[in-house]
Amino acid sequence: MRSWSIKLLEPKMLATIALLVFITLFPLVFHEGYYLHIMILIFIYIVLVESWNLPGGFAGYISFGHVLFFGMGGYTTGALINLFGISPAITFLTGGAVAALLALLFGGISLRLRGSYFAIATLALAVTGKFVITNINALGGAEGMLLPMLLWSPEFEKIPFYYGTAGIAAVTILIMYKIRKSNLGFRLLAIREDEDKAEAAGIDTTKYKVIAFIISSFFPGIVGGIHAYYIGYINPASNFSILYSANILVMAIFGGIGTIGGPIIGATFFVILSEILSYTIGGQYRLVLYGIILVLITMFLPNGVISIKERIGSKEGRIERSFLD
Amino acid sequence: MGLRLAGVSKSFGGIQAVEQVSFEVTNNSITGLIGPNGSGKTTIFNLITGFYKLDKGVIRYKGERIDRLRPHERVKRGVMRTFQITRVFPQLTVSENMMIPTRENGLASLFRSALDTEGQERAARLLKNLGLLRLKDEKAGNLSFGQQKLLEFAMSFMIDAELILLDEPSAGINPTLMNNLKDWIRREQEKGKVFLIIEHNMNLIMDLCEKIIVLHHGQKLAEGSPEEIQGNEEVLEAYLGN
Repeated sequence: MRSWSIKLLEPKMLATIALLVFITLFPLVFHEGYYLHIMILIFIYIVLVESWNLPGGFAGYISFGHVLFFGMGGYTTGALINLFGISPAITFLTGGAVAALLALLFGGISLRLRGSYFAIATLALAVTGKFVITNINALGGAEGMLLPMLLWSPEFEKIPFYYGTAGIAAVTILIMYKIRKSNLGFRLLAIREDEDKAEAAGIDTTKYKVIAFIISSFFPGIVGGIHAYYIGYINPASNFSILYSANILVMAIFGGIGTIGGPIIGATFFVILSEILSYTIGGQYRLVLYGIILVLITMFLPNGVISIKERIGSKEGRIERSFLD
Repeated sequence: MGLRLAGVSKSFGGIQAVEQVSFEVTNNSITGLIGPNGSGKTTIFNLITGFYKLDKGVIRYKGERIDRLRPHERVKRGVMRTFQITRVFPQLTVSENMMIPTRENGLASLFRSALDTEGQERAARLLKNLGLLRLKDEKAGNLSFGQQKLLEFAMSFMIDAELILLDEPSAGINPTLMNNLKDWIRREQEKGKVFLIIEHNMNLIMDLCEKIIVLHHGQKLAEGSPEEIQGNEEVLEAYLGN
């Protein structure tokens, strides 16, 4: 057993501590709303990509339906606040629970499908969810609804969202890291590698896939609610926009699917890139550039940016990667 | 009360892969399953382990009917297999591969660390015996065919399965190593394990098995001791043609 003082001096630990200090102090230095807004978006996307990665990256079950859980989180919060006057902290968690319940119902049926069939089913699910919500008048139909604003002075109104989303991103990363090293994580990897062999090794593959799907849906349910409350407005077109699912996929591929660090890299890179592009070449060309970046990444770094470490790293580094990333 | 197949049949479209096959694998035995290519040996394995559904017949293990259980539920009851075309998890390391087999799917086990000391020690012992220990941190996909075969073999001993089905264990393994495997199988049998082995290597099967079942065109052609099988005209004809 190594003592904590030695562990604290390891480069990985030092980097993590430095990052935590940076994130904690960031609002004190950059208190302009714009920078905080970018950070909040990064945190939200980290949660979305990291959670998508559990069935998507670990088990190899690519989903286009992740936006559904995000949207349901937003609408659960919207409905509970507007229609029942419930406190946001409770509505966020309820959003997570609603998303998880939906994942249980949908996953139990659709996870019997494999590969692209599952992916198509999730796409259908996302489109159906949007359609259903659009047709519920009590939820504002296609126009959506306004949510009450946090009555803080404009100078500070982003602060709680900043620390809230940062905290949830940290918790999500930590949970995914724990799962990666647990039986669940390894068994999901086994399913990705060879599902029949996994079954022959005694793994209840259906059960593990459904559990992964449920855990994965809970987090977008929560941040969907926070995002809705943060923006102050929800409507089906934006909260159920398939672009969320596309962004998640792009970020995951860019950073490195099936790793813990990859989603963090992908989310950070694309949120910042998207902001830079929107005031340089303009938003409309953004997707073209995304496409080019993706092609380049799949050609030269098929395991994502995080695999650079593996390429240039020593043999020792490679082994460490297979256990931890 | 070992494994008992009664009137087992399976067809694929118009092809009758297995027809009315009955046999028993008794406790504490090594049984061979032989026959020309396409005689239904691997299909029988897939029926016993749940990868195919039976058309007709009954499969019992330790008196319990297992033919409607899913593959992992049969593993839970102690039936483990290897594949003819070796299957390991290529992106996982050798030691990670060893941690995958399980008989425990309960929620409590889910979030436990996958690399527990007890399992690691057991894996290291098995790998050492097969000469794979120095490759423990290598990705399984980088191993040679023979090494992957050995890894898959080792994996089937990670859980205390009582019945182990080996599909052509000697294919691609060098003769010296094969002798090691043979000794290993014998030792495990003495400890109480039961083996059902598909094999084309007749020296191995005659040497190892107490009982041999011969399949031909999906049907059971003969059953008996190695001596009986060797002296059986029909079996010779099936193999050599006439």
